[in-house]
Amino acid sequence: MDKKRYCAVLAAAGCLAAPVSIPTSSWAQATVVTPTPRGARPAPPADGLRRDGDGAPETQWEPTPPPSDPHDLNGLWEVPRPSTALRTLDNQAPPFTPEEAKDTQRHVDAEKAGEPIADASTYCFPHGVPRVTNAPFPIRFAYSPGLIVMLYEVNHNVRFVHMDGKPAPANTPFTFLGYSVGHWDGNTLVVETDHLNNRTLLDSHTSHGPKLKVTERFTKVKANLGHTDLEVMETISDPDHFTKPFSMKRNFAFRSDLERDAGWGGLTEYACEENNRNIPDAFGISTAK
Amino acid sequence: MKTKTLALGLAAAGLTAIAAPALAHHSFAMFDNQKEVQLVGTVKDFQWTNPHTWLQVVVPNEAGTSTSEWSVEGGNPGDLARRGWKKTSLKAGDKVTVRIHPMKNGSNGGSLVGVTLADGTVVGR
Amino acid sequence: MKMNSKMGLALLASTALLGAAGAAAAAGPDFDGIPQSRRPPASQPYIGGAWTMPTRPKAVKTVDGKEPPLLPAARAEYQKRQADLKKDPKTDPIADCLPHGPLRIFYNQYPLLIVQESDQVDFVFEANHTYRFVDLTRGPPQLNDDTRTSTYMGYATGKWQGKTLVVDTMGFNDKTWLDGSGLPHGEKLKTEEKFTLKDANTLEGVVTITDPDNYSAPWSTSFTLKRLANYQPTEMVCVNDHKM
Repeated sequence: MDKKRYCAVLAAAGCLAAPVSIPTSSWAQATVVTPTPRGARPAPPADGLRRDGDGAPETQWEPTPPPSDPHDLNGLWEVPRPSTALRTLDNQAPPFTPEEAKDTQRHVDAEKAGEPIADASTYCFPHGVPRVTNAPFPIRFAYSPGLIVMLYEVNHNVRFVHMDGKPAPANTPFTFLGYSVGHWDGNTLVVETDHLNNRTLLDSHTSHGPKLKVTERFTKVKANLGHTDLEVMETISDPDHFTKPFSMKRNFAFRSDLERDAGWGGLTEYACEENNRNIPDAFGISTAK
Repeated sequence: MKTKTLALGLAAAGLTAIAAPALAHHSFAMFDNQKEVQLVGTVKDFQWTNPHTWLQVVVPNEAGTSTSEWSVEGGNPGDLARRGWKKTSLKAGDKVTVRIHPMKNGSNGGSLVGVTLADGTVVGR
Repeated sequence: MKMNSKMGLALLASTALLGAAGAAAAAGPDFDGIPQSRRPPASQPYIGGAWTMPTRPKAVKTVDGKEPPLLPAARAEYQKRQADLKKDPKTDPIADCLPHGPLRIFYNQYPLLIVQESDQVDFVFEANHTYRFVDLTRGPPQLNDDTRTSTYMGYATGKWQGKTLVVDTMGFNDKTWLDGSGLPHGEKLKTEEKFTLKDANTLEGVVTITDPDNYSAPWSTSFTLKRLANYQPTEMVCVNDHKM
């Protein structure tokens, strides 16, 4: 193995230490190298520019601006460097009930042990709310009389936001993506969702119950470089899992740069059933095989 | 010199962000993100599939007397496409150096950190 | 008929709250609250709204009522699929909850919501929440871009030709069947779909299949969709054996 050349390649990308041999003889061609912790956020770049998970700095985003009408959310929106983690606006853990704190810890401990407890999305079911909005994939909005349709790339999730001002009809079933009612509060699209089933997690660790209500407030706001962000303020209320409601905020970037290829408006096809090698085992533990 | 260091730092930061498969479909806690393993071997199969891409790599032992096959889970195709990857970026027979976070349970698998082709080309951004 | 659990496109959520197709739509769409920039021009026929296919043959025929012009190898594959299907219904690719693919996506009992906007048309199928995005602002996608190939539903662009919406789609994989009887297609498949309102509640689709690896000539088939009044979207999720 040419360690020297390998590190030269790595050096171009910031290789910090030479590889060291792993003591296992059975696969001598596999070598432990400098860890690059997964999910570790890179230090903020000195230029102050935001970057997406795809490495594109925000100077490349938004070659064409979104529609000037604040109620027109057309276009491709994606959260740069997203996190599905539940954190309050002041970056604290949510106000868990004691039971939920314990259950969240059970999920965290399972992850630490390398045996993450799967939820619906790992089985290719829809992701749930707000998890679907927090997933690191782009979204679009479409307008139909009486409905705003939210098209998510991830697992082709589709949400229907009822704009008729009426609450969920009697006997509305509990579903993965729930029943959403929307209205405009000035320039903000307010989407209130309930009737969410309990087969999804709110992030990777925290459960919810039938009393869950999620309010999402989508507003186009001015961003760096004269760009436009779609800010979403998410408020989560579930008295069986949290002692009080709490809010989180994420900003979607306008990625007209990713819209250039014809078809799907910058969304790609995410057919989850194609080759799901993470199907959980009999104990509900995610696998990779 | 200071500028150059910064540039390297940025590249490293970029690479780190790129390499991490997007956490949407499942937790990556079955992989040891504190450890990075480098595999030098031959591509057996590159599965450009949803919800995740998979790279099957055959890795010989030092003496060349036996091989082991590794299953490496990469990002989602749409996600990778936005990072400059293509279905044809890797094909069976390609000699590759693959960096992975290995499976915690010690099986021959891991999550993809980066791939370098024999000519030194780094795949994707 | 005994329903195989793996075959079942089960309604996890509820039964659809579907009104009967009626004259409600004749009054025209109510764009109240929709930004002007999203509304289709008033001069366009309005194909937006919910639709269903009341009559769904398992094997599609050409517009002349004939079997499509299969090439010999494709015919052999077609016959093999039909034989396999008799022995085991799970050999049908939709048994794995994968997207239905071109043409076949229209042939199921679940409603389709068409979202017609100024510069795009979305086909949102309830069947396993499958959507297609039709871009009206660009020419057809190119097949040689290998980040845009091998998809179940393809990449679509469209344009209005008079009173007809014409949709060109390509970039397919070869894993889906064109119909429930197993008509094959390959990755070179291109479809051209023409959607024309026959009356306020009737939408005709004429689909032309061009696939030189499987058919000796392009061929066309047609179907009729009926408008659903008082549509309530329903979450429909496909279930198969390995689901929780």
